[in-house]
Amino acid sequence: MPVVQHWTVLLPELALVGGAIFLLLIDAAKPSQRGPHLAFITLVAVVTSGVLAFFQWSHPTTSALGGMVVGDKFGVFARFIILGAGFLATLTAPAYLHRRGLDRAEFYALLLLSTAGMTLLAVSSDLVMVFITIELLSLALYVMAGFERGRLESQEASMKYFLLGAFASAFLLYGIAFVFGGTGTTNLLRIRAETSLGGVADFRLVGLAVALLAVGLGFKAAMVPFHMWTPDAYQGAPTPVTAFMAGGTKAAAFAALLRVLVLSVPELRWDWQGPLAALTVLTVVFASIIAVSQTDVKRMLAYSSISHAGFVAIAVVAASRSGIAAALVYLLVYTAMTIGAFGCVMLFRDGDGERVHLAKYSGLGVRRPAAAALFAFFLFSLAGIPPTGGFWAKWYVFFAAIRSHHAWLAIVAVGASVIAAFFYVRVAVVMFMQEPPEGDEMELDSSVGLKIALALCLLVVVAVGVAPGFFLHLAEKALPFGG
Amino acid sequence: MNLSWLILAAPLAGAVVLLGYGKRFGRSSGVIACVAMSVAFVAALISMRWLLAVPNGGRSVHFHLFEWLAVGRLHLGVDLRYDPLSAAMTAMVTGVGLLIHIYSTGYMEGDPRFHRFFAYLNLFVFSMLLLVLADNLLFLYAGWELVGLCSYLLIGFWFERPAAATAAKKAFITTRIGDTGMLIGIFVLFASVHSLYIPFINRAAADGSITKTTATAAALLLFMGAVGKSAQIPLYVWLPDAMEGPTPVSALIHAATMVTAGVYLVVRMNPLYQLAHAAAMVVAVIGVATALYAAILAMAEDDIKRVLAYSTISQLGFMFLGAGVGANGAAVFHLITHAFFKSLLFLGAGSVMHGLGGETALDRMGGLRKAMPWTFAVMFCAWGAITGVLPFAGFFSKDAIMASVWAGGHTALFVVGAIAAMCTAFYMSRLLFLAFFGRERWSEGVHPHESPKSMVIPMAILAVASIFGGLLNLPEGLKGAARLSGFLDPIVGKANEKEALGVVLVMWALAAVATLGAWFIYATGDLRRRETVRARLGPVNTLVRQKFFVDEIYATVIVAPLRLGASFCAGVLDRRVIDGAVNGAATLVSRASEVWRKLQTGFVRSYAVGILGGAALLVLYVVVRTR
Repeated sequence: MPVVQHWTVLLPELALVGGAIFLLLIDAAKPSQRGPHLAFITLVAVVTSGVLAFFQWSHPTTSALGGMVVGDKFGVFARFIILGAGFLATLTAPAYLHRRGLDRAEFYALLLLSTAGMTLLAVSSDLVMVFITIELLSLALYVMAGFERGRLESQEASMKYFLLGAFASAFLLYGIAFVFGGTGTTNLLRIRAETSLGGVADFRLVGLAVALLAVGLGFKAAMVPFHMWTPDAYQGAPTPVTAFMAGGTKAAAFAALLRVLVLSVPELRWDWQGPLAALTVLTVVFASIIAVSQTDVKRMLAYSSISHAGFVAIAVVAASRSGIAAALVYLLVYTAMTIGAFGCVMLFRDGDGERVHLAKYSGLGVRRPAAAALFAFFLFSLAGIPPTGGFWAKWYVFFAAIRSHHAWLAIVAVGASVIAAFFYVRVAVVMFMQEPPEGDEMELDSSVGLKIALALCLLVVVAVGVAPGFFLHLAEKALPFGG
Repeated sequence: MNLSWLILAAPLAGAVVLLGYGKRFGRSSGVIACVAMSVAFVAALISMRWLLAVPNGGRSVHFHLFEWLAVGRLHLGVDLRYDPLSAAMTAMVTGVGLLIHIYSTGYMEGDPRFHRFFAYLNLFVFSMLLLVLADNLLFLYAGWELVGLCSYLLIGFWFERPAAATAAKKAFITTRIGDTGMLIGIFVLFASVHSLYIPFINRAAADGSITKTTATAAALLLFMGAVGKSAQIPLYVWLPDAMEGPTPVSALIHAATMVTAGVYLVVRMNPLYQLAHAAAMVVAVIGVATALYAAILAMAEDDIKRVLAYSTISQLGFMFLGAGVGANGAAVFHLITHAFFKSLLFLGAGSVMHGLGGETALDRMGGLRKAMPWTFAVMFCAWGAITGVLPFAGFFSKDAIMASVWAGGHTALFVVGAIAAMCTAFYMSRLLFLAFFGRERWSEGVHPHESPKSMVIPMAILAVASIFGGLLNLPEGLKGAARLSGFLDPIVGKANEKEALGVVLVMWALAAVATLGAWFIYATGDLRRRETVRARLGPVNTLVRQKFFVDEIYATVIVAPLRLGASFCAGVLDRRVIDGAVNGAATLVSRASEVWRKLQTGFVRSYAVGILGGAALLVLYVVVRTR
């Protein structure tokens, strides 16, 4: 179908980049300034971007940059999840950074640039654009992960993420080259046309290309066996960055994966569904089992985020309309509950640092019942216990899998989520059923931004839990390229 | 203006606020709960006014609040139905609820968990309103279970007392037995018509797209739920024990609202029962049998609250009798007047207990009419209402049911019902005389006194309602317009009612005889005549006083074998087999976890090998497949 070209598709990203440039300019005008106004400017940029994206919801599908990006409802939905992650991370960051003397303008500028990379990835309709935006979001994230220069783990996180990221990007680029070789184009819609009936694609090359693209995108989404950077990076990075990576990057990567696999090469799905299903099983089972023996809460949440990538991938394997909708709802809930969980880790202070070791959580439910209950709520939602939003997210994913005749995948995933329930519930057990140590007052972080962020996360998880049909309905409207 | 969403939202907001922050509000949490109830009550009145302005026949509105769940072709929304039946129920629930909330601020004064009490109370009202406003069986069922939960929490509110904790468990488990049947009934209906929407099911029943067999099965299964919730034979045993809860709870939940949910369910699904004639007959027979049986038990009960509990069971039996013979309008009418006078009786009993320092034994009361004149006055009104004295409310409503039974030609049911009504007059008079007349028998050191205004004023309002409630539905024979029946008929169907003066006279004569008998035995100073009667009755007296040994029979026939089975499952099956399997699986997982985590070496090179290996396998797969 002919799609109208208009540059306004890019307005939300322009707002983000504009905000980043503005931050850098005022930093140049008055070097190394600090304070809450930096976070405020960031929030304004994110909200502006969200408002601009919102207007595209009711518009017909439009494209820009010669078909490299597309403005469709799918893009708007995915952008909202990503912008939400950026918004929440910005709310939680100031207090964390301030305590470590890191609240500088470039952090927020990087955050905005990375967000722009993610939202652009979610609306890319050309593989070249996919590659560029992945680099944009990753380069910013590498720096942000290592932002706490004084801490060795932070440097390690940054370095590992960077080296392996570069490695994975090579696979992605190689895959793009094969696609071009096989079809003569890198545009997703044209690839679809070439691989459909009457196309002239060389299927052997395209098959290879899809495998390599899956490696590159699977790395960003943290799927096993491309996941090994994740625990180290998530544990070492500053926690607001971890929350942002866990939420935003995953949403962007899956948006791209859905566009590439489900949209541009649906004709090859008999070829890619099998291997992707294998990766999915590997991801949910492996991550859930390894998480069982983790004693560092941030690391445990990292494995949790890996296993959730597996759950979203089930919806991708389903390769259907209901699968796409289920993936979007899952990403929405997942982002809220994961950032909520990481936010709770930031909430529980241990002196000037954070409470990361599981043993330090004993008796938290006795000393700080409300905060511990909130954390437990997010953990239960991550485990998929009704009536939280996490339950419905899993429900829709399994439902999509069963309808597309992948019932076995749903069964394996349910088994894995039983294992996963163990390590989520264990934290709650430690918090509520063990005695608090003497002399540990268990102070909470009093930052207002963090509290607002947690309240927003709670709101989303509860809202999806109460009215899952409403959100699924929205997601069902959000099909790539308007269906 | 229709505000049915606000009727629901106000008590829910109250409950959420009080559950979250009740401790901070302390004493003022009572005020918050009352404000939430007032908002709901005013909203109910405004909505009712709005509904009355709509011409009769079109008075049924459907509200789609939001879509809750969409799976395949099944779409379930949070939908409300506002029609005369739910309007009458919401007005009653919010009105009586508000009065009991106000009463509770006085009654619960000084309780350490004051705020918690009001949080539960508000949550209960929300659940009850959800039950009566829900447009599909799923949310009706949700409300149904939520009221059960609140009932459990409130019966066991003083859980430090073992009796209260046991009673709470008993109530929950006994009603769950019925609920299981109800759930299966809902499944049956869904399997038959592929919808959970009540109007849809009722239309299907009316136009015959449900077979008679299915309808009978579903109607009986739904009635199982009603039997549990409304404490009918054989699941009535929990209600007398539920009196362990605070008295306002007994008034609100175990007299006026929750226990009437069963009647509401049968009336709401009336097309189903019209189709399933046999099931309707079962409803009527169980109803009238319970009415008589519970009235007999009430005659021999010495605890003031337990007398009222049996009385509630018996009156609910009358309502089921009405609903079973198709007199749905009369059943709802009796449901509403009963809500007035029975909650008044409970509040009066609470006031007596308040004045006597928690005394509940009728043997240690007597002569209270001088010490507690207001309480006596309101209890007298309630007595008039339940015994069926003209012009009190109960006269009209009970008479309407009995007249329908007679007009329907159910002679046997009528005779049993009349005897039950006679017993009702007897035990109620007995209660009144034992508590307020005769010689003072309370123990030393007790100084009866009138209750505070916050308790007396709600009682006075309910007393007025008990006197004039009959005006809601004056029969046409008495120059009335049968307004409530006319209002409800489009929803519940017109009953074949015929005014029969003979019926009225018979009922009156029986009540008068019973009252005089009770006066003769109990109103005198000492209780010598009572002892004589007891001695004359001999073993019959023992049998009734021991409640026909039903609790004991249940304990040996049902509970003991279950316990035996449970201890086998717990001790052998669970510990050896299931725990073994679970622990084995858990050990396996944690072993695997310990081994696999070693793959995570921390070296970037090994991570890169992981990526490379994964990529190599994928490429190999493609190569092999495309060859």
